[in-house]
Amino acid sequence: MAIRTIGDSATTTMVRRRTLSETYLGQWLTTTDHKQIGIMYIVTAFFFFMVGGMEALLIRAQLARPDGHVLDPQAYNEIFTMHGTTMIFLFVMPVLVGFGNYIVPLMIGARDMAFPRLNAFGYWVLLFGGIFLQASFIVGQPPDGGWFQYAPLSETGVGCGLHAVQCTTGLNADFWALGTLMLGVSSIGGGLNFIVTILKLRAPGMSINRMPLFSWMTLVTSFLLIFALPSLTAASVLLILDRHVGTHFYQYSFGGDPLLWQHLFWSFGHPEVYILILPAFGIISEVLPVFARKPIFGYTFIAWSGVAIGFLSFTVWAHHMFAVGLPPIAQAFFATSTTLIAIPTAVKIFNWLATIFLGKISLKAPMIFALGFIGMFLIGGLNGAALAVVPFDYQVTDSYFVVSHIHYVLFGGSVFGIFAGIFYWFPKMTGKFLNERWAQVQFWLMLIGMNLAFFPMHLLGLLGMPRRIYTFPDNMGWNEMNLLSTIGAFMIGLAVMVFLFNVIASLKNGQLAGSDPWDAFTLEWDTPSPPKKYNFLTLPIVRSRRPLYDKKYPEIADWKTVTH
Amino acid sequence: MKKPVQLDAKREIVSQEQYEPQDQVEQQASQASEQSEMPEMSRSSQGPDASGTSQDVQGTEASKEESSSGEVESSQDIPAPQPPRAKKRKRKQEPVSEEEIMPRPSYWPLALAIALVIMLFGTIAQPIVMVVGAILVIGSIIGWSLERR
Amino acid sequence: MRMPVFRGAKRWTTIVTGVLLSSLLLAACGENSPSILDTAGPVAASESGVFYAILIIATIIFVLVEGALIFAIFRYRDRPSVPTHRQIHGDLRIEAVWTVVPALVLFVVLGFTIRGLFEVANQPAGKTVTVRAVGHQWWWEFYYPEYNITTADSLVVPVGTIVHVDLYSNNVIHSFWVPNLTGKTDVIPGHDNQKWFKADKTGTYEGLCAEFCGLQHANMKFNVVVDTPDKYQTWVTTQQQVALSPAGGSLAAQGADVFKSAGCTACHGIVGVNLKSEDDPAVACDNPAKACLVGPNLTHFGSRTLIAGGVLKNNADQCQPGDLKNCNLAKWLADPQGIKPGNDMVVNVTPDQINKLVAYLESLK
Repeated sequence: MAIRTIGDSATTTMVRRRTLSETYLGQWLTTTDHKQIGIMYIVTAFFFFMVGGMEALLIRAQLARPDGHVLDPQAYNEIFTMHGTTMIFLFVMPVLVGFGNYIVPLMIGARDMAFPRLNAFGYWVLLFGGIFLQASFIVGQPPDGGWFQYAPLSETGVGCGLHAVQCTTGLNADFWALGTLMLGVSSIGGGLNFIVTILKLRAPGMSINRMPLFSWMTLVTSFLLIFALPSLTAASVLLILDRHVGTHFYQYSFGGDPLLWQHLFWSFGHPEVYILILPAFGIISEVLPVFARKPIFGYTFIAWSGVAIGFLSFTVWAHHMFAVGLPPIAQAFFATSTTLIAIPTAVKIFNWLATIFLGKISLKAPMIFALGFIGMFLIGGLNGAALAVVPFDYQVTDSYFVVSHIHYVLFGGSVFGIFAGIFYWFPKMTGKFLNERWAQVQFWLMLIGMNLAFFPMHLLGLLGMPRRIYTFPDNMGWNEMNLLSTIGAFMIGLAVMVFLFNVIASLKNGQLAGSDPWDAFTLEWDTPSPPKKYNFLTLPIVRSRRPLYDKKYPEIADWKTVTH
Repeated sequence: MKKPVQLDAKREIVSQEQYEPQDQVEQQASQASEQSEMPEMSRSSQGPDASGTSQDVQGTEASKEESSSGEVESSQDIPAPQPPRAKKRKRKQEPVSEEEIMPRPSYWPLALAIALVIMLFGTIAQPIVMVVGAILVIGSIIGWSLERR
Repeated sequence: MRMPVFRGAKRWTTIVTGVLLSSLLLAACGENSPSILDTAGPVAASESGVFYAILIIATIIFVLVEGALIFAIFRYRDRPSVPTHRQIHGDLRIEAVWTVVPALVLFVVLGFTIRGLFEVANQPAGKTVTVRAVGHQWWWEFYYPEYNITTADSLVVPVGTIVHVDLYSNNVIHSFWVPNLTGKTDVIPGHDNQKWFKADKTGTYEGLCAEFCGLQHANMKFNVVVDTPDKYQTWVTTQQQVALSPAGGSLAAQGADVFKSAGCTACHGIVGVNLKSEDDPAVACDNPAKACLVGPNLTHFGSRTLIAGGVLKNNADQCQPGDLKNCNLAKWLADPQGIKPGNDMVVNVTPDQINKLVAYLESLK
């Protein structure tokens, strides 16, 4: 690939060798451009999505019939652990950070993130950390203690207990702890970067009150990242010390406490799940107004309910631990805080509905995923509120009812939100549309597939099926629902294949998109598709929450009709 | 220090656009600045006819690249055509090149990432790996800090 | 833009709703299941009663909100005749309404929650049986301190009596769950968790381990056998006896010899053979000087309904000497790793030895 020499104009003719960072590969390896880094995050995350998805299909294949023989117990434990770990740390978090990276500077009218090299660093640590984690398969010792690796199962033999027999003597738990440490470094760096960028690099006139909601949600998520991840780091470091250096933090026979792990982990783990969903909330809050041709209803309420969720998320962690024997007064406290956190979430859903009411809804690909998000996240929120009812939780925690909840909010929530974002911003990133027909096929396959896969799990939980069991006997009455669930999972797999096909075909021959294919409202659409390296020729001045709408429709511009 | 040619995502030489019609560009810009009232601040007005941020860069507009603190190009002091790599422009009056305002590529993030992963891997491998990793981490941090941007 | 798919929107909606609702009907398929809705005691009744309240509230909210969503999609979809509506940015009053109303509903539910959790937390007064439930990897041991008896896989209790369970583990975290009788409580090493339940009906109820505890977490089951007080008393008395010595020269006696010689005593105890008496596992298993055997006590093995950590039924009637084709115990002895891969039992016994052992063990009533 020859580089063009700098022209033979009247100026000068220059010819020289390319430096390493000018080669195609070198350009990607040394880039500090938020757009390139964003794309790298998203592409990498999708590779890991496939890995996690295949693991899910293996799980469902094993559980399709009673006494399955697809996976032996050790393999099953490894696969379900890696499914959770990969999907959470290597798919949902990176893809949402990737969107944030690409879109947030464009949305706020900045030229790049505040710390471009830190941005790149975050990506590379993610990549190598992810490879490290997956490399555990190569040495045959992938993590096998569940994605939250409770101690003392994750301890070595000595740490299990005096007469203990079976703990994690191999490297499995070490891969997990080190992998999550690396990914934590990446996330904390990214979080810092977003906070400074959003707080300091907004375009003139864009007060924090006029910032797009995706940026708001990314800001809250970034605070959650920097305050929650250290908890996981601490927990993992203590685990590594226990396993290798001879400390006894989680080992009861030497005076430690297994519950310490749970408290530390869930102090990270609960904010983590809000980290996984808040950017998706932001994406929905961007997509719905554009495709309903109305501004977002209750901007302030959505923004501040996001902040409220952020604060409250640090107060609810022990609702993952209702069965561990905390005193009733503590249970009551956490039940209360969990109830409180449901309120801002409900407010958001109502605001989204109000956005589409009295609108002019165009059912294009991003919109159908956004609407599907609302529908499915509602179910996840309802069964989550059910889990907050402590006595009921005693029966269904650690059963398939919880698996149903987490997948409704993670798949019906985060993943649908991610796909809404992909269909919405793909034309901006590549200059081409994704095919609308295939998007419809994918959506319906996914919607039906996910309900088939996860709705029966409510019933399985009610019928006594615990989580994380590698098989079940024939006579428990769980057979038909497990089979239904497997069919749904494979439908989702098919939908993902459709999506991949769509992406590849569209990259080759997709319909060309201009700079503003959806007639949108925010600044990222005021650039060519894909944007130039410098984003904006001149930095825009912002007078309302919808600067591009104002520019396109000056007679009815927001700044003329409303005061924000 | 070598300044690489700037390539955008489509592998076009962005910096060439800037330089190629340099004479014409600056003349047109100077004419424009005489004709219309360019605000003191570099930011274009917010009205519907704001300088075409939404369209692909045209030759004329290429010269209007301004940083957030740069100002309008003057009509007078057009320097003689310079080799594309002349960096030291007079900031006050010249359009700012992309190389000056965009973050430059760097391989230190990659280096530090690799070093960190090696160091952490060393906790379960031989201790020497951890020591080597730690040295690489320190080296990368120093290199990162000392990099001139 | 009209999406081709939506020409058949009504048809699609019917199909999707039908599929979802019919999966509810599959609840009927769970007839054998340890369903939490099939309550046999006050704790489960209280916990599951809350479920019906939640279900009603959640269904109403679901129908309303999801209905609003679907209504909006159809009513406000883009049609050429429709102009763009007024750009509404928000409305403070309606925001207040839909913040306060959900908050009220949620606080009502919270009221149920707190009342319910205190209700099941406090053990009522009354006739009580105390049991220590020990979570091993991967089987349950039940020790009755009042009678100094220990058994495995089956928790035998009298009907209408409060059962106080002390939970103990010296290895990893397990969870004690009997869906028909009570919600779960985790068994955490180093913590003395306790729970109580009461069974109001006789019968046998499925119990499960509900916290991931390693390789065979799936096969760590037990059952709760609820007897009338008389039968329970008989059971206790029998359990307190030393193991029956089989008649000299019988197949069972040879089995006893196999038991002693084939290495079984390394992991299993039989009171009267290699054990003098039972020990409180919470004491023994935390004390390096004392014996804490890896496998279940077999003193009264013949009277148990489940074996091998609840994985197999103890079908003694299929275990006639010489005809062990369908005998679960024989299958277990022949290949424990095949049935429960990764468990701690590794044996190497010939079919002849199995024959004798089965006769012996099933004789230990």
